[in-house]
Amino acid sequence: MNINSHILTPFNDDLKELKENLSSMLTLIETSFNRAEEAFVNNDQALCDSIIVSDEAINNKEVVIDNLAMDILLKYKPVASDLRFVVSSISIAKSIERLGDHLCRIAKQIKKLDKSVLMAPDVEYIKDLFSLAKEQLAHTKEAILTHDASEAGECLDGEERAKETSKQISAIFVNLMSQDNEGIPNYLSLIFIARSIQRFSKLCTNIAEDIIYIETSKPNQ
Amino acid sequence: METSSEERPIIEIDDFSFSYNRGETDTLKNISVSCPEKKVTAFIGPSGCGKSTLLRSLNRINDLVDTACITNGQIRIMGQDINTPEVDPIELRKNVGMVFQKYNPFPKSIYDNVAYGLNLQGKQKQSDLDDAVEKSLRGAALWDEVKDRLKDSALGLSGGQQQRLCIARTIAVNPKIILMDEPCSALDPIATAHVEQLINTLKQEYTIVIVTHSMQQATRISDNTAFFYLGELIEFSPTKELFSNPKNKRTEDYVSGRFG
Ligand SMILES: Nc1ncnc2c1ncn2[C@@H]1O[C@H](COP(=O)(O)OP(=O)(O)OP(=O)(O)O)[C@@H](O)[C@H]1O
Ligand SMILES: [Mg+2]
Repeated sequence: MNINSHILTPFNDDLKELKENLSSMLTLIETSFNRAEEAFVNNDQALCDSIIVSDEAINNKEVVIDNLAMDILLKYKPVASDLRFVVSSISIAKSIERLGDHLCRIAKQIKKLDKSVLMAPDVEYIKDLFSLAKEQLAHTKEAILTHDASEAGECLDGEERAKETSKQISAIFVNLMSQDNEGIPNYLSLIFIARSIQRFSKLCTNIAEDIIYIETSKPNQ
Repeated sequence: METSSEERPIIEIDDFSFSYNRGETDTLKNISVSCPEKKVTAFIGPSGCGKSTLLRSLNRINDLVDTACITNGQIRIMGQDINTPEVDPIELRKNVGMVFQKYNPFPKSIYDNVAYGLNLQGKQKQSDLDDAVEKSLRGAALWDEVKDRLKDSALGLSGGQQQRLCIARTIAVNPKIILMDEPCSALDPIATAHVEQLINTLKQEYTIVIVTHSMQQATRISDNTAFFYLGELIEFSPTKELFSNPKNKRTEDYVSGRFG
């Protein structure tokens, strides 16, 4: 993005506020994500509840960002990289809101898990998936803060890896289900958790693509 | 210079430099722009960058300044270098009409304003003249508003109507090209919308070159946009590209209202 200042200072201020809102919305996601990871490892019900509660703040942020973006479009009729940024902010906020939804789903599934299943060695694959998505989230946030398309690019191949891992996880737990009837609800929850993380990863990629578009004007493929 | 079609552009500005002071300093510096036929080309840029000077070079109104001279290159219209001795500026201006910022109807009737250019071209049959006046007023989207008061003074029209009357006067003589220098700058938003709508329909028949200070107007009505800065052409691109993804940093700073 062009870093020269606008002659109109309120325009500058509004663009800055929009960016700050996107970044603080991502910070809320980061917090919930870290809690989800920890709640999964420790089977911590209270942490799960806190994730579900903080989803409202995330939803509210989306409304704030949409309003601000509409306001900027109306008042300043932005063009060029400003226009790409403002319009993409709306789509990025929508994606972040959905990141929050996936974290809620994950939290709800963790609450259903039986502690014993967490001892199974295959659960490590889910931890790997968490790490993968966490890395993507970090690149995405950094890219928004620094207007760095290459930072966003770092995020792109995570999606494929997450998809592969999630597939593997499904295969493993479907197989376990056929051997252990009693464990079925647990294995199903683990599969759902893996799928949600995979979708989380996919959304991070979408956001990264939006950032690349803002910075380079190359459209998403 | 880039043009979309294989067809020869109707206006070819080719490495054109222009001076107001006998060549001491150049107000326009090595400008190359091609305007395709039946398209709208917008000239934008900060005050004093030379937009009007270039526009006025296209119908040789600058000839009226004694010390003015072309210091490099040429302008071709329909393939003809317009600054050679064979070209009569009066004839040229029949093909290249002009609409000004300050609408300037003559203090005559609405009818006479439109008929003016036709009368200059020699005696016409009254019925032919009537037809031509009606056609031009319709072409300028003004007919319905004035058809019952054609003999009234043009000065009694609203500003927006006066500007459309000037456009009717320009198209009456059937030019190929219409030059417009900030035609809406003195108009309210509704009158502006009427003129813009008119430009949208006029481009089916005419090639239009318009100078505008409104970025929004340029994006709405033009096909290609040229950005000038201190007498130089900085960027000439399809309008959508120039405003969504300018190639040049200086263009981006200007169109988005930043400090350069
Ligand atoms: N008749 C003239 N004699 C001498 N200098 C002139 C004449 N007309 C314009 N200039 C100078 O040439 C330069 C370009 O003027 P021009 O009117 O073409 O600019 P412009 O881009 O149309 O500006 P604006 O947006 O203010 O209309 C300016 O520095 C101006 O002072
Ligand atoms: Mg001018």
